[in-house]
Amino acid sequence: MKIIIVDDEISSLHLFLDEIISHNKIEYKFFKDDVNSIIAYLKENKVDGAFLDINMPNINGVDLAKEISKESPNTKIVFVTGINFSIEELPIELKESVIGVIYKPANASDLERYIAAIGNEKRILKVKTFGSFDCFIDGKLVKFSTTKSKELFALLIMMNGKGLTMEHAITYLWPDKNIDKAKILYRDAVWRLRLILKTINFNCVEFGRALLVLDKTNIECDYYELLDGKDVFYNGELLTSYDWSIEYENEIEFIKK
Amino acid sequence: MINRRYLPLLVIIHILFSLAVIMFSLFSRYIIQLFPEAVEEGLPVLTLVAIFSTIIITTVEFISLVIFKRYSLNTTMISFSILTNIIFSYDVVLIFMMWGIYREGTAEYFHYIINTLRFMSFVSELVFFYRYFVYKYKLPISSYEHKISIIYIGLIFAAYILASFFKFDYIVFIFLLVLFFYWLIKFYYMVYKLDKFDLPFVLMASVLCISVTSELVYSLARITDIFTVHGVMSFGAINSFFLFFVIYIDFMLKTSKSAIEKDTYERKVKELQVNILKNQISPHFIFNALNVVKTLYMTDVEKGNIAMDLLSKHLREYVNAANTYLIPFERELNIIESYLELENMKVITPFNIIYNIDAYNFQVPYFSLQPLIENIVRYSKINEKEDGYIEIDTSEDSNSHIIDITDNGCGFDANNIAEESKGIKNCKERFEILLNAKFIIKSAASVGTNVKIIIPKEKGRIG
Repeated sequence: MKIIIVDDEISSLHLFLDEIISHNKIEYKFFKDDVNSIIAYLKENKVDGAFLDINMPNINGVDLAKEISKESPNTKIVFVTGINFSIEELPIELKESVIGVIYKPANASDLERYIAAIGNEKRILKVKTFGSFDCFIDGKLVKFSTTKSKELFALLIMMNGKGLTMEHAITYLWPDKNIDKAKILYRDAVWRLRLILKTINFNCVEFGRALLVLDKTNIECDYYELLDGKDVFYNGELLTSYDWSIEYENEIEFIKK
Repeated sequence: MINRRYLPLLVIIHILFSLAVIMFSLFSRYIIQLFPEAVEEGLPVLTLVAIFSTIIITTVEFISLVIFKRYSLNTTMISFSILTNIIFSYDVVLIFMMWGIYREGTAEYFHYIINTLRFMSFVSELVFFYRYFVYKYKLPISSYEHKISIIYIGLIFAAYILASFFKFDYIVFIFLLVLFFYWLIKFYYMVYKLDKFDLPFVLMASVLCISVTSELVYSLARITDIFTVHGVMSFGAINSFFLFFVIYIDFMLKTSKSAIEKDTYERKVKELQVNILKNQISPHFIFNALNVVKTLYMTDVEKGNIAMDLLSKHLREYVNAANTYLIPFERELNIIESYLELENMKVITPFNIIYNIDAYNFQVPYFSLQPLIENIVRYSKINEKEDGYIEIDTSEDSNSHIIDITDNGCGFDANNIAEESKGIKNCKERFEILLNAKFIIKSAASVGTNVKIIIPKEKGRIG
């Protein structure tokens, strides 16, 4: 996969370097805002993605994007910018090429996400339920802002695509709280889960009224694999630290036999 | 399209008056033959009436120009142009003849000067009509079209000067005809499409129509003998009458109660918006946050990265705030979240916030909840309590969305908020002005504070 990065300031390229160097599949080239050499490079190489700054002295990033998409329509373009800018403002001819905007200071996970999108990689949420519960996306651990929102997501994973009602969640997660307090805590956990999924840009839960439904496509989970009859290593511990996991542990024991 | 009902009126007035001017011009010689005395006495009187009524309007407009400045420059110039247009017409020549100023020897020059001045005033009338329509109705005219229009008017004027010198006025006549159709149809269509077709527009367009038709008749009279020009300018009286109505209606609309209210409303909202920005982006906040980031980078790079992301996310929201009044509630919550997370990085025991979010499809003023949370963070000391919390509840009933922000901190005297925090007062006012919402603060020492905001559904709707 070939990408180009265009920015007039060398300092903003460091972050890219940090990120890209770890990918061995990526061939990259940095450019200053010199249109001719960029176009010349595009003519000779098949470039999959371009990261462009917008405010540059010699050419505006949007104009440069027009040139690039004219020269090589299949190159996916991502703007990296400090100014407030939204994709909706773009001219129509760029709507297809431009796949997103990263705001400066850019963070590594945004970069990772767009690199995956340029490589047409399907983004997979990897879920580990054996042992302690954890989720990974783009090779990084997903951070939940509270333990209860994490636990709620774990329960949702274990529901295996069936809808999770508020009552069900409360009896599992907050069995000893009174119902009004539990409802508040439930909604808090739901809201935080929503925020987290938004932050990692992975929309896998349908948030209904007092009902959560998980979309299992693009989720890889050891528990699902075991249910599918695959031979997965299981050391007898599932979702440690969650009180309700014993029910599922028994289920797995039963399947194993 | 509410104002479509004025379209028939516009068409009727246009047809009626342009026909009237043309008919008058065609048949005035027969009228003179039939009633020579009445015409000789009557026509100049009618013209004088036109002159005097226009003088009055021009004076009134001029006074209002001095007082209100920006509102009435165009109308003043239009009425002034109409005035000079009438003064330099043939009808005035009739009056001069009566008074004996116009003599055989000077006739040629007199004729030439009067003609040129009349046409000059007509051109300036067109220019100010153009300005009036473009600015008042905010027509979407590009700077290119703007230039072309001005050059076009200049060309017509130059052509006219040349033509009257060589006595080829009909060139101008053709120009005028094109101008007439081009301008009128284009402008009417624009205004019509923008749904700004109101009574002042219809009357103003009629004034333009009469002026252009009169000028057409003047040009036609130079080519053929069928048309006469005597008395045509007495239609200026009708013009000044219409103009008076336009100005009167405009004035009433501008000074009406609702318009003034709207004006102060907008100014107030702007002022509040500016104040909130001033309050929020305090150097205190920025440098404190930068200090946190720096410290974190020295101890824990990963944490420093997180803090940096939060701070830049937060600052970006500030920068965007300048152009927005209302945002989706969810976005406001994101602002709160990044703020609280940043705060939590500074303190040893974090602030515990509970999002009891049951409804979120509504709008709130930009940075309106943030000052409330900031106040809690600064003064409530909830992180020092064992079970301290901030709770944000939202719910909806059939006609409103309700936001409830509760903390169990040390509380304060709710009567003293005005002095305590400008930020809270500001967001209370913005909720009230922008969304017509109710904003209730209850606070008791050592029990905590509760802020309840009730937003009517029709105001807070998204989109």
